[in-house]
Amino acid sequence: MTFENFGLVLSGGGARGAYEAGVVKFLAEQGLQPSMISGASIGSFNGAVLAAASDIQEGAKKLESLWRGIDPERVLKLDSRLPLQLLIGMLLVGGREIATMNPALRLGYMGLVRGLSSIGSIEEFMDFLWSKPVLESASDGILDNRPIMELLEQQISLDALNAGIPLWISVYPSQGLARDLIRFLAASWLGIGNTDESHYFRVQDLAREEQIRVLLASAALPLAYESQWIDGRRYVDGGVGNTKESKGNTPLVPLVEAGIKRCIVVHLSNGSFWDRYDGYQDVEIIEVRPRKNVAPEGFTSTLNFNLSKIAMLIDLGYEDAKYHIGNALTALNLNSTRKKVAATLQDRIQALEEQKFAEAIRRLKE
Amino acid sequence: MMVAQDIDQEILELTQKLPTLSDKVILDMVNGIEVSRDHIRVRANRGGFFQRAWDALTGKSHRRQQQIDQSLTEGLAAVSNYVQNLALHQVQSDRAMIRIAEILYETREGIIELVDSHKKLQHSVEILEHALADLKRKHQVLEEEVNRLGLRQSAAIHMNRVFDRWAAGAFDEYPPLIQLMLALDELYWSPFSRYDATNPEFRNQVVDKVIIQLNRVTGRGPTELYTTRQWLGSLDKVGNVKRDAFAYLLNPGKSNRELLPITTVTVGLLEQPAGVDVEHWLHQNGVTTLPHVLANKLLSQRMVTETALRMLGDVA
Repeated sequence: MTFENFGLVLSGGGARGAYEAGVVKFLAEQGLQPSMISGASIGSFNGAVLAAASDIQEGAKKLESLWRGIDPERVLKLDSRLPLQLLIGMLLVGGREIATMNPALRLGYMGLVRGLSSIGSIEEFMDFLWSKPVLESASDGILDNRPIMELLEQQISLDALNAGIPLWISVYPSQGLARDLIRFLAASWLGIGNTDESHYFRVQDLAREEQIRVLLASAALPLAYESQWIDGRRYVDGGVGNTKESKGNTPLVPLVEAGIKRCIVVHLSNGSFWDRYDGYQDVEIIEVRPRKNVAPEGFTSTLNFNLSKIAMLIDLGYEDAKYHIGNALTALNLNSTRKKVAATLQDRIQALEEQKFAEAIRRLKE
Repeated sequence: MMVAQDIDQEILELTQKLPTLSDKVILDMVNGIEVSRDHIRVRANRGGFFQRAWDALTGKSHRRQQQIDQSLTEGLAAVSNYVQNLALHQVQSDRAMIRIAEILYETREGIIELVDSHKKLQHSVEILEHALADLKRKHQVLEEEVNRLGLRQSAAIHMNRVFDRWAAGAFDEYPPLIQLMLALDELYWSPFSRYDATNPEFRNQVVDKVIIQLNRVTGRGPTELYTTRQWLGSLDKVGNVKRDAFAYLLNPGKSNRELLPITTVTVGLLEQPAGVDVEHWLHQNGVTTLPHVLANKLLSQRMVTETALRMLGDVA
């Protein structure tokens, strides 16, 4: 199979990222080496491992080994500062965000809040809530990101990453936990409104201390992990960007802007709304979409680091890559061979047309 | 020919009109179907009442349908492009086959021409071969004739040379019989012998020359009788050393000695010491076939014949 000079887009999806290890395994088997990688959330972690590897074969081995050796309890270590009442507060905060999107909802929400509180305005109520130490601490996330940082430090050599193939990471410019969370949930669950576009950083262009922060930010799902300061701005999980069209979570944009014309895009969700026809007219795209339900347990599948589930996802990723990429490349090879044969046929006929033979026949008749 | 050019022009125009079947079109067709499948699978799994109601309320159902429709529409557009390209390719292939058939026809015509030409050439070559064989034969005949003439000339030259030497007294120190035998031996050890074996035209001339020379050295007429014992008795004048040499030189070898009586007896006597009693020796060896008298003419005739036979025997 041949598919040269292509970019690899690794979507985010938390624990479902094991699926990408299976896809990469297939790429390695076929010798398909990407020339650029972009990732969102867990895809950026996987992408960093690949970018730092000497080649796709080494990257695939490392990635599979990393996923199969993961310790779920360490990855999902709860932050001890989490208060239970956080969720109630978040619901109220969320209500305000949703209310700003629609006048009717705004009226309903205001009535509800007035019924619950004697405080004069929503803004005052929100300021009151955010000023409390409980919510202030919750804005750092309910999960401890130190194990992930350790994992990054253990598995990814920044020197190798800086010398490796270009890696783009999708991060979302945070407007505050509540606003990010609610806009994300409203767009993704309720289909109301949308989040802003993600920003994309080329890791190799950043200072070393920022590289780790970008990787951490990329996976900082609002409420789950702590947001990160980069270049004077707070960033969270890039998968939050343009949620409705899943653009931030499927970061093909930076690769296209970098000049890539061929891409393999790996999705980690069922029926992703990412649209291959939206602004990628000149790009050849092979999408690898899960052919089985990868989230039977719903949203919590992003946090399901159960080893048997990981093994299942790796196998599924491998099989789906074999199917999608295999079919696509077979069709491309067929077309390429057809073109070559047609060109050869024309050449041969051209050779048959050469005058020497006609001249020889003419001489024979003389 | 005009028709073929029209077809080519039409194909060229079609090729320019049709959008290229790019790799992107292929991928959008093959991989785009999988996008629709993904959405259809997800939609099928959300068939419950509340799920359907929720998807309708949030607009997901509409968006999903939109993506399925878009993928299918884009896919169909790609298929249309693909089919048109395939049809064009088919036309190009058919055109190529027609052209190949035309070229094949031309080639076959050419081969037929070539076969006809080859046949004509073959016939010409056969005629030439016959002519060449005839020429070779003639050349061989001519070569043989030239050889024969050369040999004849050589034989004549040798004949004259030998008799000139004899006439010049080269053998005068020996008795006439020995002179005669030495001259003939020298003559027959030359190309004359080969020529004489195939054409004895000079033989009578040799006999005549021998008679003339014998007449000179014996001082007798050609038919003047001289006894055989006198001819043989003159051998006493040859010294012992030369006797052995002559006996060796004139030895009949493997030839039939009955056909060479004079030579055999002469060599037999030469093998004896000088002064042997000829009559006694002949009697002792039972020689009865010799004539009692031998005139120059008869002796010449017989010795020429015996020398020719002796040489044939030696060659055999």
